Amino acid sequence: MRIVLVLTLLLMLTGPPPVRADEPGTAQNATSAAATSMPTDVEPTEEASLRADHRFAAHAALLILIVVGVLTGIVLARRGRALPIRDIPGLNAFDEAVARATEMGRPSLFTTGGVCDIRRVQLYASMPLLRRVAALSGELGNRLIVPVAYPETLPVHANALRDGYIDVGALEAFRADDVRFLPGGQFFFAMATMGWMLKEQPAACFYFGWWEADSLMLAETGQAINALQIAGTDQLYQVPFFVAACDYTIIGEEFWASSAKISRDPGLLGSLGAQDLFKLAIVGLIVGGVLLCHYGRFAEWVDSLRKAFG
Amino acid sequence: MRRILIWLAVLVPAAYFLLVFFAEGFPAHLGAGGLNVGITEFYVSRGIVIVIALAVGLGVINLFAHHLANIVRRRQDWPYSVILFISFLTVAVILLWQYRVEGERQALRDAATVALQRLEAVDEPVPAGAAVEILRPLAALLRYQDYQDEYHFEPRAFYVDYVRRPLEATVMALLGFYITYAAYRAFRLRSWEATCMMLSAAVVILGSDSFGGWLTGGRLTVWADFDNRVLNSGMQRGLALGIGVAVIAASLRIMLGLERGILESGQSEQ
Repeated sequence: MRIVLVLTLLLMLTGPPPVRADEPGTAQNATSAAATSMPTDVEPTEEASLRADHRFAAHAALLILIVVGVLTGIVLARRGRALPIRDIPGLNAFDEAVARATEMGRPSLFTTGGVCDIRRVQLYASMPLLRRVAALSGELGNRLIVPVAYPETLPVHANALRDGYIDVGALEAFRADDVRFLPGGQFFFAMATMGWMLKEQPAACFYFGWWEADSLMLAETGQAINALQIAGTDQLYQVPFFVAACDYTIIGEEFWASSAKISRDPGLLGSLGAQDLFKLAIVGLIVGGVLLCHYGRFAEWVDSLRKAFG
Repeated sequence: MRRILIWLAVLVPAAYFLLVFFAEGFPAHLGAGGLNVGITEFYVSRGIVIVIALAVGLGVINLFAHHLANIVRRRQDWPYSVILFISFLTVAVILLWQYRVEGERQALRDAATVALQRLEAVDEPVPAGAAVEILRPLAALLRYQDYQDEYHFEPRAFYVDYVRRPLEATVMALLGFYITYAAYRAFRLRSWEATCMMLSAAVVILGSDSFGGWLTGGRLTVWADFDNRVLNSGMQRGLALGIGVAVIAASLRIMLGLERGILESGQSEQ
């Protein structure tokens, strides 16, 4: 039903737009989309146009293939045929981290960083993890503090925190003040969070989401206060910093698998399985392409395929 | 109902931007006219600006109401609310000052343009008094420019260059210290993984430096290059592939409303 709605919406949007003479992009401009995307004084050559068409077709086909694959994976997972996920040490340490903080009488901290705004998909992937930490905190009677860098992500964090407490019947543990909006941008957020960390002395710190330069600042502050730290990001340039400063680091794809493993949601599990199959297919394409390149007849074909995707 | 509304609020913009992305590359001979999203984009952009302006206005009212209540009722940490008001008013005054400076400058420019137009229209000798009247705005603009050259002051630039940037640079400078400290800790030989990391780092650091090349007759440079271009790039590309597919899958789940984190959040309480 939803897929039909999505397709209908796309069709509605792609329909001819209403033409008004006094609006920009109408009348003369509305005759061709090419007029909006390429300069009018340069005529594209036939070959370049054909190559652009191939590239568009290749990208569209790949996207459709991934979409169909992910949807199939989700349907299969809902029927109980999800692929198993191996243990991720960082996730297993969640319980230990929160229990340690509780024993030490110090709070836990969960943050998605100073640049993870509402547009980042990583934010949504981190919310099941926040919910899990909140559930553990609620269960053990530990306080969880959540610094937030963007006002629009504050309700998302607050809802995940509250849901986590509700999961274990500890809604009374939820305090709105524990989810704190620290404005001013990446570095001011980092400074404010570091200050909050030094004041509250959290014994368990969780860093998940989209990270940039503030990753090391917070992780080093956590080290300084002797916190058990678990980080997870798909930002490859930040992984070394987390590896150096944290006790457990969830790297790259593990980050995406984490939310599926923790939530056991069929949607997440199914799409995760589909992703793995796609990666296998891509690896197969790479290996096959390398081998076929050595045979003259296939080499041209592989080269045209490479150009189409390039 | 709430669930459907949230889903639609996510779906409609997502579908729209996806469409914009594909419309840009849509082949012309396949009926590109149907994919002209120029007008929709125009209205959407205007809509976004209106929503942002309203949100900022509401936010300011909310902020003032909350912190004013903090001060009046002497709640915990109320002095921070006073600091917030002072900071807010300081920045507001700076920006209004900048607005005034720019307004004055623009008025002078407009007057000078009018004067130039009047000057061009003069084709016969005019009385001295009338000539002075015509040239006065030009002279004022020149005087203003001289003044600007000598006493250049831009309130907003002052705030950005001498307050905000130094603060950011100070925080950024901390990173150097943190990187050194983290590297020292990471390279301690506690385990075989740490040993591998330290050896790899030593090869890359020395190999990227002329001293390392000189020391080993260029061999270390080759190893460092191999490490960077083959091992490191291969690993990064492999991870990037998986991450790319995962991002598409996550976006699709959000678009289709299958992401529990967004649609079901807060519902268990209601």
